[in-house]
Amino acid sequence: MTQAGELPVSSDLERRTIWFIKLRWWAAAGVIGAAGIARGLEPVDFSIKPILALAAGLLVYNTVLFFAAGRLRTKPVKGDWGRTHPFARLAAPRTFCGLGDDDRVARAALFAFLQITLDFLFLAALLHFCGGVESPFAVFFVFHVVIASIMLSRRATYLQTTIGFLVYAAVVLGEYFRIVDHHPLHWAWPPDAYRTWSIAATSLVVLGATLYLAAYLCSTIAVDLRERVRANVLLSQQIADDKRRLEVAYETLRESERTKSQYMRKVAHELRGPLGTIETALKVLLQGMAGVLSESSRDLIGRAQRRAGELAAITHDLLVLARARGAALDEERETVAIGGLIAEVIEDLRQSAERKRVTISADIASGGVTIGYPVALRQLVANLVENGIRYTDPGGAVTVTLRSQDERLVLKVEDTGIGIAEEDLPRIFDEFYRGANARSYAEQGTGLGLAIVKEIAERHGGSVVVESQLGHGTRFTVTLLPPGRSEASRTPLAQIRLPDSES
Amino acid sequence: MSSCAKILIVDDDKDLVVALRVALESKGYHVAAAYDLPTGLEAAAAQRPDCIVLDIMMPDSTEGFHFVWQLRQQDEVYFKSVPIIVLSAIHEKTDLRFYPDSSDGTYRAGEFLPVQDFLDKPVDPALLLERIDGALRLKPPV
Repeated sequence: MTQAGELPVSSDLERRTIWFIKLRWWAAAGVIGAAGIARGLEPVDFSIKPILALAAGLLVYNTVLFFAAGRLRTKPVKGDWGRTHPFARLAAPRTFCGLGDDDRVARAALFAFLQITLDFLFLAALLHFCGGVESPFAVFFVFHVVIASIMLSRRATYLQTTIGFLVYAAVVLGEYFRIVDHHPLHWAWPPDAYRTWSIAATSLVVLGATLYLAAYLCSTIAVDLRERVRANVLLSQQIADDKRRLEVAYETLRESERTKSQYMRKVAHELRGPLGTIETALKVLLQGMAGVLSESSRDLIGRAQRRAGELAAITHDLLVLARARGAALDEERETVAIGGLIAEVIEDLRQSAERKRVTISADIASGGVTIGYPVALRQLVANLVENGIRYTDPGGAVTVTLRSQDERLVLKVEDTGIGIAEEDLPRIFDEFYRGANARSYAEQGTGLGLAIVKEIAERHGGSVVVESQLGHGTRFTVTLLPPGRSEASRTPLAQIRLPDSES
Repeated sequence: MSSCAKILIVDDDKDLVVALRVALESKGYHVAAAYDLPTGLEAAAAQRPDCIVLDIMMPDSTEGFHFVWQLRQQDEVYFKSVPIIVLSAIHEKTDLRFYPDSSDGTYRAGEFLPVQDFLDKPVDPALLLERIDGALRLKPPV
């Protein structure tokens, strides 16, 4: 069935019906106005009373229709009526069927049919009272044929045209055979024109041909246009379906991501406890608190402690990574002043930098504010700066810059360190990957730091790229999108909006 | 003075308790141990340690907190003032703040933890000894 965001054709037809009714107000006004004007023109002479009575009747009838139409729009169609009632199926335009609102389409079509038929009767009565076959207003029958072709199926249009023609013929022939009185217009016609068979025949043939030709032309065009509307509706239904499927798939993916992250966190958490105890026990031994150690005891315990420390670092980083991946699903975003964050991180790392005689400097442009996860962003900055310090020789420098560039925040961390080999560059953000030169230069390092940086950058809708030359230093550039857009990039499906149906 | 002090360790990790016991006894402290909340409260009441070393995540995230609050809620001055040093890795996960002394004896759950100090796990025994020393200097043994 049609849903919000899809285009129900029935509302199209219902709108046309209202428009049609509004037109009729103007028609009634026109009849009254024209009658009034004509009455003042010599030598036209006809009785105005019946015309006015008809116009009044038209107004009354139209008022009834107006309220009926209003109520019909809100009332749902009962049962299968639209699809089973034979006349409904005849009247409803074929191309508009099967799109999910057949009942309403059929109801709108039937309503139109009724109106057009009644209009024909009114028009015929009008013609009868202003000249019959003499009346120039016979042409108005064409209007209703055109309207029929818009609202109804091809066959119903022809049926309607036939009704119109028969009604007109009834007036002409009725007056010809004196079944009804003739109300002459006293205009340019000879007084007994209505009794001349050639005039009657000609007007019937000409009007008949006009009506049927108009019916043919207009319904052909109407069918064409309706085909296009149908294609549009089907397409929009397809898109809505695809969107729903994608949403389900996305939700499933999120759920499995969440489960996976939770699992990672649990595992990491479980590992940390025992590891911590191992480290403490070994430290107690090393610090001589359980007695003096032999040289080899000290050596072995020291090695065990270092390996335990490695494990602990990996577990810690795994936890951070899992948190980075899982958090997008649980945590709240906040306003984060990146400039302040950078300053804090540098302050935290100043001691270890000084120990290694590496200088850290910051060049922070003001206004670096974004919406994100403050803990994660701090981790991102810390990881990059720590790497810079770790892989730079004493006397080297690490520079952190922050700029605002077309609404993006661009963070650069550059060092004068050992650099990254070209063959390592594509894999440098992989989990547990460390370049060969990194491994030999500094034993410490889990290989997860940059994976974490990449994860956090992407979680904020941004990206990170690396430029480096072996032996000449490395530069990492993190781009963060402004708050509104970063939201969109993470949940694209939530942002898809189909055009609302005009109802 | 501090070398005769009695330290109560409350932690469900028995191996860690052994390691810490070795470390503390090597510096001359007397060590008592408890492995869960009820035993911990009992031991604190019975032995009146000069300092309590507590694992806050014992065995899950709530027992440690409950220990602190239940201990502090008792009327005697001793319970309100005995220094507590908390061991855990929770500061990465929460914004817990703590203040050195309870002034009016009421504690707001979830926000303030009335303990004296806070140490990351894995515990560095030398660091722990430093902190115990510091806590004891502020509150000499009864």
